[in-house]
Amino acid sequence: MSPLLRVEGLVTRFYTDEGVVKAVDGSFFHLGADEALGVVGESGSGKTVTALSIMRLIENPGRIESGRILFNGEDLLRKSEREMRRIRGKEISMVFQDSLSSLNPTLTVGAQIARVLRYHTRLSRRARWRRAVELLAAVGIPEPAKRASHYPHQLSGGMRQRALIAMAISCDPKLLILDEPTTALDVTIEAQIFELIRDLKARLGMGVFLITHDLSVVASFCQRVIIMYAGKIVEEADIHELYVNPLHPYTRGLLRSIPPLEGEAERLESIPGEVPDLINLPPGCNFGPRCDLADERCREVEPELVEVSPGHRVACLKVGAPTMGGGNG
Amino acid sequence: MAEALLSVRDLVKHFPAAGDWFAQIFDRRVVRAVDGISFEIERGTTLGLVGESGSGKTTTGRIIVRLIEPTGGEVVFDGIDLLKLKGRALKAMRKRIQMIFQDPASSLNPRKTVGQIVAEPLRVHGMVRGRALEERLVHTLELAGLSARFLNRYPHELSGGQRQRVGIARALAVGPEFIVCDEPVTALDVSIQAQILNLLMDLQEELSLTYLFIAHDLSVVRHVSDRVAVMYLGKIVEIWDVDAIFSAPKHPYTRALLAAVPRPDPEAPPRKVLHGEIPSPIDPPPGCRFHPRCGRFLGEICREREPSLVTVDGGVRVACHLYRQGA
Repeated sequence: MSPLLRVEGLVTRFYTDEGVVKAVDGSFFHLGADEALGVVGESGSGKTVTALSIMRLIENPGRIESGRILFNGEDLLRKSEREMRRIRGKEISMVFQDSLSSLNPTLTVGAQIARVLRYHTRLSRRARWRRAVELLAAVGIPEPAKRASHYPHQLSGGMRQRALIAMAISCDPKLLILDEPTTALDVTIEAQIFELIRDLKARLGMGVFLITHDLSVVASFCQRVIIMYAGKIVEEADIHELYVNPLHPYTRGLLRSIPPLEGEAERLESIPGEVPDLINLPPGCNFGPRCDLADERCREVEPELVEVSPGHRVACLKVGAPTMGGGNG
Repeated sequence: MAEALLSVRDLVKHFPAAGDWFAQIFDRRVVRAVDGISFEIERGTTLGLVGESGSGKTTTGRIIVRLIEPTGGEVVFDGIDLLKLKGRALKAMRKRIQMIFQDPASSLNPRKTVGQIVAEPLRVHGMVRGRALEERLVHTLELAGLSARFLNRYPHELSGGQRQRVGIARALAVGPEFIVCDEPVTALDVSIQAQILNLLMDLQEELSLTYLFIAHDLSVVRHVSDRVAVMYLGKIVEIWDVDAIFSAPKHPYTRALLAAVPRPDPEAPPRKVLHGEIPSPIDPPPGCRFHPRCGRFLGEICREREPSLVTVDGGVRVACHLYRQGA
């Protein structure tokens, strides 16, 4: 069976006055129809730009340079803007981090959901409102009929995020992209939101592409993870494999930087240095300047993502010799 | 118990719910941001103050550094009642108590160089001039892990981690004894968070600093704290030694909070979800403020009587009707 989404050789760049930002530099990955795939990275790793490229929402001075984004076998990069508008919000939906700025402050939440329905369905005005109220109920908003006539600022952060999710699932999307959906929220609300998404995913059967900086959130929600660093995928693995057997020095460093909740509280092992400037990337491996394993060759040769065991890919010259048949799986 | 450097007694801060004085004539309601809290911090230790948005933890920190005036209560620092200080005495006290802010991008003046930013507190307090100032600046930056070449840079030229180091250097410049750290690593990337946490802990040891560490991230708080106070809707619900509170939390809210935290381990038991949201501090629930969301709700007593902080086994102080003094 072919996957719901297959990204092949995606390159997205921004042409700024300071120079060319290599935001996404040759990504290959796939996402199954029923799968939750986590994309983990720090600021500037290219995770959000990857999502915006899938949605074809890259604006000037940004450009998708090359690659293919196959959604149900069709290349989204070959679609017209008109066709994309039919896909966004219907086939593929995205929930952004900041719920206050992604909702229109001058419209009630019910009206905003009804708007999406007007664009993508043939429901009557009354049916659209009824459906909006049903959706608000489905995402666990108490008194949905009343809340539908509220403006975004009248809702709490958690409620707004629920309303955004209601809007995103209003047309039963096949793929739901979540960009740091809980970063601005408290931990108890975060747990509620993920309980909701897990439940909706099971009920509606959709693929979920979860962007986060938080390896703990991924561990409790996703089946597979991609780790990105400075525009490149550095590691990809099944969720269990990644935490038991992380291979890339960056992934290992990230896991060791999380203060543990159990056990002895020891000094944290931090990753030295800072994320590189995407305009002036170092030669060779992007992580080289911060890596304690790096040698001469790492500063010259750019490592490729190779499969070291089934489903486990890593881009590091120091980790495992490439096995046969490796490459872009 | 060793000597308390800071002790807070029955601290209360009520903000008017309405915006300006005119609206306040018609709307006398108040936001009970901090509603009678007490705690002590021993010299050279860290008290972690945790809670969700609206719990009152940031307000508490700001009262201690005298950025806002409380409605009532006492803050005693090294035997001196902080809230009574005025003029010169208050200014002198500000040298001893400093603050590190959450967002280094907005707490640094974008028009000033790093050197000017870190020199400002020294200038205000008239501490050093000329050649000595330069040396002091370089030394302070080095303490925060920055080299002298940063002196002439502007905040926008720095990364998030470097900016936070400047914020730390600014706090250290006047040689304080006590620092309120308000979510100092929240805005930073994971790999940088660890660097800053290590730095703060090294500085504490080197300079025998005392910290009030305000954060919502429980794993960060566990890492840096000696004792932890958990706040909910303007009240402290539990306060105890860090290891004890994380291994055997008493208050149902502390338990729920810990159970909601995701672990970086796919084999970990699923997160337990606490339902509902933190109620409005304008009109907090009567009795125990946590009772509408509590899994151990006992009935009438929780709805009607507000539990006070009592000391139970092992010295934990907890505000919950499930526990009796000394039990």
